[in-house]
Amino acid sequence: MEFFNDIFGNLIMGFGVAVSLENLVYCFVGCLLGTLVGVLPGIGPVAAIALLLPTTFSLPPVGAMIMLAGIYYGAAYGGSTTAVLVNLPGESSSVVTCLDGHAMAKNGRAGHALAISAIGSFFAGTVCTLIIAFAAPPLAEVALKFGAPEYFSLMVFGLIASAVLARGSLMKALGMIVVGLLFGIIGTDVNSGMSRFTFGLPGLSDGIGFVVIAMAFFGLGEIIKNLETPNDERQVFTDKVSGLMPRWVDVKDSAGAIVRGTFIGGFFGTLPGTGPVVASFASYAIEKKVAKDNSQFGKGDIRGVAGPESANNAAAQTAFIPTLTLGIPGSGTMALMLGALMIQGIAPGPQVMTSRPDLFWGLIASMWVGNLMLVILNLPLIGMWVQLLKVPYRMLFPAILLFMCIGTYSLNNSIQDPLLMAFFGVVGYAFMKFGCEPAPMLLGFILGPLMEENLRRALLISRGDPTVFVTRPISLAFLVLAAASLLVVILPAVRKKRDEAFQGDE
Amino acid sequence: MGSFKFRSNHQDFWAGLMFLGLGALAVYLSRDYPLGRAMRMGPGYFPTYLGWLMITVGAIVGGRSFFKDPTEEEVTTKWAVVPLALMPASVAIFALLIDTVGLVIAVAVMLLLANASVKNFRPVELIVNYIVLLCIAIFVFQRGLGVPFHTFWEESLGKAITELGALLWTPFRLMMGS
Repeated sequence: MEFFNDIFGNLIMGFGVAVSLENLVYCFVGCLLGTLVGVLPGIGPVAAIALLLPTTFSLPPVGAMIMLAGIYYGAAYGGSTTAVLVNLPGESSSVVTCLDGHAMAKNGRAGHALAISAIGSFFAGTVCTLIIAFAAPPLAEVALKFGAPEYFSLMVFGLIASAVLARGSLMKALGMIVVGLLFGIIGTDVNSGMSRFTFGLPGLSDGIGFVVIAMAFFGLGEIIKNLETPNDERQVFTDKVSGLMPRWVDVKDSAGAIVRGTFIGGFFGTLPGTGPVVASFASYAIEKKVAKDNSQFGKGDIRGVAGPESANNAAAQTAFIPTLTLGIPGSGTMALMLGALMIQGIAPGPQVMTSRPDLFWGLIASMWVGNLMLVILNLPLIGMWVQLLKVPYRMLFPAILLFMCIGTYSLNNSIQDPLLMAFFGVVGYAFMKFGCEPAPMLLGFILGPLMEENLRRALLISRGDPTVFVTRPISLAFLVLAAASLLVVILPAVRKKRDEAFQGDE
Repeated sequence: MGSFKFRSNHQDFWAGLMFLGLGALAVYLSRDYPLGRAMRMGPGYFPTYLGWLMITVGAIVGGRSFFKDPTEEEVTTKWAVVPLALMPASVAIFALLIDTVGLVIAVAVMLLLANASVKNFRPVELIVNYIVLLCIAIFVFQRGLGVPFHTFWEESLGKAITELGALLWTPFRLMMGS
């Protein structure tokens, strides 16, 4: 009972932080920018957060995190708008929404699809805010007992699991993680003061900023890739979206799907890897199985929109659990959030909850506030988003390019960062051409220095004995989990299923 | 399973090659860093082992391509050479110009260069885009967020414009409460 009282006391304190005028404004700006980015295909959430990160440096930590979180789930909302109206997923997590969402739009029910996806997302957001509030404190308590060996093994597990759950070849995902770890070494070694991998360039002695790396791989590389195919004209399906008020019959039809989607998403979100994407696919598959009459799926069944949309929003929220409590990000976007915390001078990890309760609970409360804002704001603003969709890519990409230049320049007010971005953009494009996903690289890049430090400490404690990782039970458990998840993918039977689950995810 | 053969159209071959190259470079560069012992890891410990891990992964990824025909997704596709050259170049030119000639010219040159990758040249669109983006750069980033850009190559010329901008920007700044 005391536990519950604590949680609610903390939540109320969090709401006190979140509804201050200042933070409401940050939340609003974040949601708006996030939705904008989500609506526009061709710029993903990682690039968006990286683009806007420099502008949050001058904000207080709480405000900065609230705004970035707003961008993050705003993008998840916006992605579905594009999926329904243009049949182009704004984000990879709304790929499934295209199937039934766009079919509904063709049948003249775009408004209903958008309304139910907003309601589903809001429900999922509400439930997951509570899930985070209840799951995070006990988890953080456990994590506080972790020593260096446990942390090292946890990171190994997190990285491997993210490779297992990532799209495409497992070996290449693992390779990209190592690439990220290597990039993370560039700079001055904190322990010896030695410059590593700097090629004698003084500018590299502080390492490469994660914003630069993220913009290069997710922004610049992506733009070059998009320009490969000159498909300038986008067909916006409807000029006028009507029926935005949800109908009772729709809500009744999709209530089950929303609840199931929420819990599926809530589960997948906590796992490392592409949580929201996998969650939306899983939810769609399950809805199709559960439905008594599934003949309408793919032709505009509202449950095929409600389930996946609730799931991807739920997963987007619960992805914060490992990031906030363990300091281990599960996805590219979460890696950036973690990086943002570090820039604000806050060491991520279980101690954040006790050392900065205002930040932790304020952020959680702001998630709910943000979800509410998105529902209230988004539906009336749909008309504006539709207009935005008509901006052709040839006018959009120079803007993104310029904002990336300015963003990287403003990191240190130096021209070195944009030049580095230009270079790594080429590297990122090359990797993309060889079928290597950039997300695992970003995870490795952020975790690299932490991994080296924990490895050093663990081996120091054990006097150089590497068995320390298998003799400590928690550490062993993580390593066993890591090995098991690798085995699961390598075994052919499961591998086939995994490929099926990703089918159509193009 | 195909026969053992070199498949230059297999993405995995090139991915493996890149991993191998990076790994080899890491190991090569790390030879100068003291390895230390496990108990007291030197600065070379982590990078050296990572380098070898990278080489191993590269060998596996690249090696597989010799035994298996690429699937439809794994076939190498043509590189977009023009955007690949122009996009980084336009970022670089912006970086090289910004501290000397200022925003007005740097943004223009950047846009022209980036736009060269678009097939049909649409001057009106380009000019509209330029004006909008320049305004955002000056009023949001330079004035609003305080990024220390020059507007022109000469401070006095830029100052007159930014003063005017500040005036126009005031109501918005008040609204933001900063």
